[in-house]
Amino acid sequence: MGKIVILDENTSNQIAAGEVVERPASVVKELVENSIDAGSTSISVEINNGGISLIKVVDNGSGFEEDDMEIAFERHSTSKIRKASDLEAITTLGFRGEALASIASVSTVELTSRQAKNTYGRYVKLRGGTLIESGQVGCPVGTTFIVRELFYNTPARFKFLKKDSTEAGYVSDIVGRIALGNPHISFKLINNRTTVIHTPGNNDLLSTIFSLYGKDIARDCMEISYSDEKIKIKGYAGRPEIARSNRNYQSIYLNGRYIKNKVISSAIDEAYKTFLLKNKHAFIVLYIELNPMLVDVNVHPTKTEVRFSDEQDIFRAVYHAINNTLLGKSQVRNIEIREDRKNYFKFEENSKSKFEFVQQKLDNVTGKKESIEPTKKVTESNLGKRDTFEKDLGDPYKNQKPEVVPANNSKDGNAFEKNIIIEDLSDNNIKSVDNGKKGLLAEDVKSKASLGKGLAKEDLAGEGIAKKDLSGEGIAKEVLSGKGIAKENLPGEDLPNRDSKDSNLPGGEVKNGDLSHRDIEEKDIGKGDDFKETSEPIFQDAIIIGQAFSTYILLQKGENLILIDQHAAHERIMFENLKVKYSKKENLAQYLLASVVVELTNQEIGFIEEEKDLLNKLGFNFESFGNNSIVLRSVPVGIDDGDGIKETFLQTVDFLMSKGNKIDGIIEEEVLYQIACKSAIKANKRLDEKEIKGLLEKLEMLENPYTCPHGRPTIIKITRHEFEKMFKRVL
Amino acid sequence: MANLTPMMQQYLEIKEQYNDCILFFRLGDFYEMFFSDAETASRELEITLTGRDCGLEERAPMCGVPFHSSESYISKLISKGYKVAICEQVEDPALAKGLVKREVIRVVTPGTVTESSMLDEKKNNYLMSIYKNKNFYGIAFVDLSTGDFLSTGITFGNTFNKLMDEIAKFSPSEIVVNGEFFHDEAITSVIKKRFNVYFSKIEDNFFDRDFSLNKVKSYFKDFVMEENTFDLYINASGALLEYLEQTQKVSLSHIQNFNTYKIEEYMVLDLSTRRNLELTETMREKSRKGSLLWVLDRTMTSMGGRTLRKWIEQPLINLHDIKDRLEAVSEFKEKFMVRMEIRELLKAVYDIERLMSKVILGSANGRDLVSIKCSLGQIPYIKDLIKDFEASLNVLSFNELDTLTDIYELIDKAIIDEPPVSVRDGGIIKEGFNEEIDRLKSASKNGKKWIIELENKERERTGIKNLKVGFNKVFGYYIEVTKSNYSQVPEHYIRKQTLANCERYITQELKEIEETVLGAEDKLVELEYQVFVDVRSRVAKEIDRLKRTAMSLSRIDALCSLAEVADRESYVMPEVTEGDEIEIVDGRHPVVEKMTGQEAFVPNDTRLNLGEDQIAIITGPNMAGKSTYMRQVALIVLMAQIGSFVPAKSARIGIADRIFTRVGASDDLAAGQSTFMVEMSEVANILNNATQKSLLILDEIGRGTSTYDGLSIAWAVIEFISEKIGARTLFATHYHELTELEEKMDGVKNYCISVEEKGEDIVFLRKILRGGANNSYGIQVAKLAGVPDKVIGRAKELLRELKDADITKKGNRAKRGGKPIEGQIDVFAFNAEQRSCDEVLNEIRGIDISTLTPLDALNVLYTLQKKIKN
Repeated sequence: MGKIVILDENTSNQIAAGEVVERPASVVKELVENSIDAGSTSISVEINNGGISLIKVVDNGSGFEEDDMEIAFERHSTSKIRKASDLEAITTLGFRGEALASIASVSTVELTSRQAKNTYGRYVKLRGGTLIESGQVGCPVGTTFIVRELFYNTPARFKFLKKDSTEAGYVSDIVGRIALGNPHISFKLINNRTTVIHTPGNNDLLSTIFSLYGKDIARDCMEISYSDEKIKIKGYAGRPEIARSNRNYQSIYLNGRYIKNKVISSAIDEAYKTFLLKNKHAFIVLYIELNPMLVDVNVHPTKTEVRFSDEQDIFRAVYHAINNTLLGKSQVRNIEIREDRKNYFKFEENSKSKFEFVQQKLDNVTGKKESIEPTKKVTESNLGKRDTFEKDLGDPYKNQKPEVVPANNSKDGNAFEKNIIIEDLSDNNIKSVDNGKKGLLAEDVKSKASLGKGLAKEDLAGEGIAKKDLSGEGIAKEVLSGKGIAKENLPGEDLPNRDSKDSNLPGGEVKNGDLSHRDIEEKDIGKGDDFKETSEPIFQDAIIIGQAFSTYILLQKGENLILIDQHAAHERIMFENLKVKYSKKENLAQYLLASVVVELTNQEIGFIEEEKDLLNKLGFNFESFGNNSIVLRSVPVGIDDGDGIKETFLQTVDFLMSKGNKIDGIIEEEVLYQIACKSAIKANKRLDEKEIKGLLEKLEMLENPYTCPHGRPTIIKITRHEFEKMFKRVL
Repeated sequence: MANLTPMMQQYLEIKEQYNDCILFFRLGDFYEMFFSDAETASRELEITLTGRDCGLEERAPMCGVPFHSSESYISKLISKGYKVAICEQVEDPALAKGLVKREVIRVVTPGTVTESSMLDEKKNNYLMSIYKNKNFYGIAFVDLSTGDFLSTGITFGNTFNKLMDEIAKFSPSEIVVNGEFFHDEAITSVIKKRFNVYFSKIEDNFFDRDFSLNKVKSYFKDFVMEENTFDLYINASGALLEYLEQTQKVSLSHIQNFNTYKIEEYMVLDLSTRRNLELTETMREKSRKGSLLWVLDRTMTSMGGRTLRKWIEQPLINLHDIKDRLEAVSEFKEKFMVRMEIRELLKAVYDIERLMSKVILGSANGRDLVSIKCSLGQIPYIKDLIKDFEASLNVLSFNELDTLTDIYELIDKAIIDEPPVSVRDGGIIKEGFNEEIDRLKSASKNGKKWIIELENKERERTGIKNLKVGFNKVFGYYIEVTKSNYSQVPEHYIRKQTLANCERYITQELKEIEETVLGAEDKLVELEYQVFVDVRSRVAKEIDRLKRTAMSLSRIDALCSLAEVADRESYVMPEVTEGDEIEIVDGRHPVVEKMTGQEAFVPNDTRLNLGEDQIAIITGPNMAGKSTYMRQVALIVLMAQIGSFVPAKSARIGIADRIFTRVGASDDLAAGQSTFMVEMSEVANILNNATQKSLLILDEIGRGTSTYDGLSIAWAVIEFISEKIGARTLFATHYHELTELEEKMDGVKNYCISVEEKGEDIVFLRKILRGGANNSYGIQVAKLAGVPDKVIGRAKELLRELKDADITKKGNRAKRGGKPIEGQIDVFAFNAEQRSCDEVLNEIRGIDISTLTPLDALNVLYTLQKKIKN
């Protein structure tokens, strides 16, 4: 006898279930999509234990035909298509007819449904795909689907389920996504009896965003509206301020179906490129409408993957839709009065003009300073500054942002730093895409496509692009392990070895403009590497150009212009200093010649008495001085000017009080940051050459001189090449 | 008495004036209670009873509570139905000569509590005064914690019933009455039984006509009495104000508006209807969960909560007012994002009404003022959010919302952001608000600066490097010099203290400065208190504006709450009309639906009017949902008249002037009436008071007596409603005979609740259908409820006998009544068989299978079979 048998239906359903029903969230997705297809206006999902013990989906849709209720659980039964040719123009969410059979085969299912034309509903119950009960029942119009004991008969799959809360998170994510795609339907998600999602269903996408993500995100959304002859795009794009560090806040809908697609993701990234920091991803909800004939949704059973017949069109449309939106609205954030409610009523405006920006030109040899012209108005906020800066530069250069100097002595830091550089490298493509605003875009895409084709012949162009743009992570890893950058980036036999620093990019198919960019950038990176490995002093042979705005130190070193934020740099120095002493339990205290009296509230007095030891350890020694005051005898090293003493002390006390009694190492370190910040040279302070040199020397000594303790950069590098690009000496 | 200690004499004198109270007698840091008060309090509060020498032979029983935690003890006593008189020392013990003067400064009674810890924040705490004059009543209510004041007269109709309705509506926590009322046993006993309320008589002369009129006029300056009206409410109001003064002993200027209302302005709901419909609490557990209020209340502030509760307790009957509310709710429902933002803002709004009462009563501290400020800080944003609203109520709110910037500024400038609880310890006034305070502060500060500078100065002068200026509480400021430097100490240093290795000195100069420093501090504390009190009274003066704004805010909150519920629970806007129709499509019971989940609740239609569909007679088994259905209709009508959206697909509601319910067994057994008596007196009330515009919900009238009596009463009641009253009526019954009325009377329609029979069991389908039911399925329901099988079996047997008897007697009924029984089987034979079956079943149940051998099993089977065969 042969060993091959045809599996009974139940077994094959269980196997098929693996594809559709991965976890509770996939059950929820299938059921909710059915509800949507049934024309519901209100859909409620309830789960317990992350959906493992219970999933209940209640809708007010059209309901099942009574006769259909049992047949619905048979494999490949669907109400949505009749023949294969229908597949070409699918407008419903479900169609494969696998879901119900799959779900029923691995759980206990109760289905109650009533159509409006009937007085009563019908009820069926199945366990492991077998009907165990059915009958008439009183119920409202619509369908209620209850799934219990998911995977009770497939222990292998059951084992793969994660913690309840994790599974609940997946469910919440999927319901949220579906809700965003269907603002005309009111969705409710109840997790362990608590309502976690409730959308209004008033057919207003912004309201839906509001109900899911809250007021702040909704307020910072801009409407997208775009259409060309093939594609319509609507939705909302978040302002750069609300960008996140992952893509979870991006939802893309194609003809009403939530999808994930790399082409679209990269188009979004490119559109935001000049507006966002690296590793930041915009908040976005995108509705794309496209002739169903131009897209294949039947790629995978979960239906989140799609294939476009023309990826370039999609890329371009998405890019323009978002970019137009971003450019159309001023990105300068409205500083709203709301920001701080307490200050709504302002009585005295005690704003002295704190900053006076004076541009200085320093003679690099003598260090002689002379101020040339005071610029009157420079906005206070960083953002504003950047904005004006960018405006001044004009459109094509917007993206030419200075890079963080990549050099890093500690090996651990390398991965991160390199990662950024690598991204930069691939950014190169994107920069030219940016230039493509002036018509180059299509060409560029084409060139990329042809590049991709040329390299890996059968490969799809889109994927090629996506790989380059999205897989920074992988690339970074490779780099760490010592492999070539270019190799990873542009796989293909006929690539010359790009490890050699002086090599050119492969000729032939690639256009020359791009080439030269890459070449030079790569050289830079190479240098960066040398930099680290030889641990050559950073500022050796640097020429001090001078100080700008009384805030930034300018150095020229080789082919680079180096900018140093004097406050941030000094803060880092002070912090390291304090930290070393503090950790060695050295005395931080520096006794004051003239003690300072500080007035405090009752509460504060009580607090500092309680935390006296800690404060002493930090360098503050004090005694009671009657009537809610103390006399401060010492402060941490480095703090010298009169007002700073009191301010630093009060700030420290405030900060510690705000942390209550949960003071630990991290908080102590935070206090040290603050002290360092107070004691550091302020911005807007003129420094002479000696002071600058002193600062540089100290900075040189540090393990990590590249950021201030709060994570802001201290040193920024602009390459000669970048200058030359700015001035259009090179293209 | 002669040999009592003076303190005890003082105690007893005061106690005599407050005999009905437990006297909290302030002694130092404690409130002490003596004699019988001590015995009562120690028992109720579970505190130790001790004794105190009082001059007599025996020690006086005594117990006490610390003054700083007295609030919780007082609240405990109040909740147990006692009054507490608080007697304070009214002069500074340090300055008093001889015995410290003491006076009662306040009497706390259930109706006059203002401490937020003792109050339900979402419920008004009413004190009610009733003036009875023959059959007429004047009544007045006040909520001291918010300043709400209301009064009305009851002068026609069944005045006592109306009085009960009013008490039920406001559910006061304390009632004061005049002598005539108090001594009418019949009335007082009912009140005591029905309501959980502190009930007492106050002096009759408080109710005196002239006295009370003057009192009212003294409070409400522009009060003008309408001529030719019954004015008993004046007597009640005057007495109420006098009683408040007597107990509170402070100004009551937050009682601002003298509101009179007419009972007829609102939908009338009698006590039993309120209970049956579970408007604010459930019938059995008296819990909020499960009530209509529980479903509808999503307010963010306590003020809004109280407003919504009032709305529920007083549904409207004026079409215009109802539409105003519905439109306002609708606008909030449509504008989802605005609503969410407003609700967010309201979160930060405190109970302005009650805070203002504290301000007026002088018990508000710095934190209370800051809470007021924070609340006011939200108003500009709220106002801004509703500026484009169109519904007239919302426009009104917009107009009435006073941003109160001046008050915000005053508090913001004057009071620091996180003031201490105590108002007498300083540290409460912001810098820059009061020059004198700033001056004193800087004097203190400069003094200190001078002192610390002295340190350096003296170091230089004396050459003592480690000379130090220090401070301690006993000696004040001093100069400290270590042993080794004693020789260098200048002459003019005055030695104060010698320690192990150092000595401490003072100088003349140092002491002078110390005086300013320390003296300033004392003055400062006193001044800060005065300034604070001044700020507080300046805020108090704005009570009018604050109250109006608070009212607008609470209305916005309540409307938002209704909109939120409408949105979340998928309610629709009802169309309210002056007509007679009640047309509900797919109506749901708001509470049951919420309890069971929307998917489990079967919606039903309703159609009532004064034409074809005046009376709906509903039959069907118990538990099938008759009562739920009828309450659902009543609640939907009531909700519509509150101005709420309703749980239905659509609804057209002709306004009802009253809703009467006669539902289920009432729990009035406690009031000493038999079930049937209660039922009948409720029926009487309904038949006497219902009008054409009323909605009647009658559940199983007549079931409390024998079948034929009951049936006859029910029949007659329906006839009466149909012929004499003409009110829209839902009538549920088990008397299937009543379904005959459909053919006999116009406007009667039969409905039944559908049930599916599954063999012996039944499945409830819960759908209301036209036509009469033919079976009550009482026995099946009993079985579902867990009545023992034996009883069920026997009941079935009896039912068959009875039905057969019925059939043989009145064969003509067989067509309609009951399920037709197939053929005339031998009743007794049938019974015998049934009995032996039961026996066998019982035997099988009793078999212990684990001990049976296979052979035994066969034997048992054999005997069983034999039994059945016989």
